[in-house]
Amino acid sequence: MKEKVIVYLEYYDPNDFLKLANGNVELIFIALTPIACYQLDNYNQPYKIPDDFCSISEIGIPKNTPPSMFEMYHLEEVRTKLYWLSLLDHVEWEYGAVNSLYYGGKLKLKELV
Amino acid sequence: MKEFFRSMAQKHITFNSKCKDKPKIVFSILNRFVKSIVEEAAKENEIHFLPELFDNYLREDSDSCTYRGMIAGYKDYFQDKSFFVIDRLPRNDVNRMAAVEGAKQSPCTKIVYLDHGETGFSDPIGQIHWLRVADYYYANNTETKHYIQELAQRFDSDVVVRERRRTLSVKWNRDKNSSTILFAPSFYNSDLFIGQYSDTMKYKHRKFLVDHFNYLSYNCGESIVWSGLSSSNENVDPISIKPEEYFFDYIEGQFNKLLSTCSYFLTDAVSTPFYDACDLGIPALCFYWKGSTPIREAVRRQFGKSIFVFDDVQEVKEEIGNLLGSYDQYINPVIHGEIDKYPWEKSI
Repeated sequence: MKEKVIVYLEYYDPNDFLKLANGNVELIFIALTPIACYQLDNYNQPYKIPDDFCSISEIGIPKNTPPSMFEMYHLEEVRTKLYWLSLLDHVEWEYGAVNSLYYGGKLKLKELV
Repeated sequence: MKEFFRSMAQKHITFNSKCKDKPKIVFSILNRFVKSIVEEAAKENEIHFLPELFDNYLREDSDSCTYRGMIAGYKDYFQDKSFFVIDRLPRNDVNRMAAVEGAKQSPCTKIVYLDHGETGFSDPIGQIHWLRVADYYYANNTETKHYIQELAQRFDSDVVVRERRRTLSVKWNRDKNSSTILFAPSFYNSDLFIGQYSDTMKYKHRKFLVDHFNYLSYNCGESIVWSGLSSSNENVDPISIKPEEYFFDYIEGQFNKLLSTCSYFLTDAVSTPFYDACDLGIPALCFYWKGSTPIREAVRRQFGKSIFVFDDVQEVKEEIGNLLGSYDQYINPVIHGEIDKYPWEKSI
């Protein structure tokens, strides 16, 4: 049985995966940026995007309103990062409001693997 | 280069500085949106532009002593200023962020926020900051004014909400010899954190649009222009990589000119360009993905058929056809109530 490896991509260069692309490993690509989508399309490489697992609107934002612009931007960045990385184990919601859909996303990913 | 001249002009321009006892108004920036307000205010007031008191190096550490020092510096600067007028707060502009906090702490300074852009979002994340810090909030139309009033009540804010008419940069001067469809895409989130939806999903939708526009251009002879994002480069927006392969035109950096001559306007977000197009009376269609940040019901009611919420991007094809077939149903001028004065203007 082939080993399945999930690869999160901001930028795709097939040379990066020459060593892995042998008969024993199946690569599952998840594109995190438009340019990664474009490059994977160009190489006819099948891929998924994070929305295939859960959407940013499903993740939602915490109810405690951030008090300053700094924190607001920070929150947006956290939200976006969480969105991109919502399928990784090490991500923690910094405002303590982990949404159950975050786990839902991971479950869907498990089905894929 | 434009930014360089603007910053030099701002450093050296002060109107009426020799006239004593006139109220001092500080504008955040000199741009075409505030030019007419500055000119009018300069008749009775002393006008300044916000100086950059500090190097703009601070980004992450809002709680540091340095940032508190910047706020104190601006508080000191504002001590004899009556108004601080600001229409946007770029996310990397730490000087302006500190200036807003400094002005807030200055006992004699009122912060006047001029709503710059429009999103139509029902999620108030973009407005909450201004409800907290601003003394006056100028909305660009009656619906937004009512929405901000409601938010102010909900978040227990004392802000005074008023209405103004946003400056339009162009007039609609449609080219009568041609019939051009202008598509103005919204920014990606990597450019601007304004909610909406993921960049990868947005790209997926745009790939579909490229195919459909190619079809409309090649097979149906439609004239279509894709207005490239001002921040376009191949790392941000792959649509800009090989525009020569499209059957439609892809043009960057000429949005206002394109808007003024187009016959139909298309976009994928309830954005400032959408309001601009509607204000100008151009038949406009915003196709809006269902998974995006929700749009206020009142906004959807106001713009009727001009806001089309889709689930599957394929649905957009038919709606574009409807726009071309019965364009008069897609004309929705922005509704204004009474236009309010600015707080430094004398009421009659």
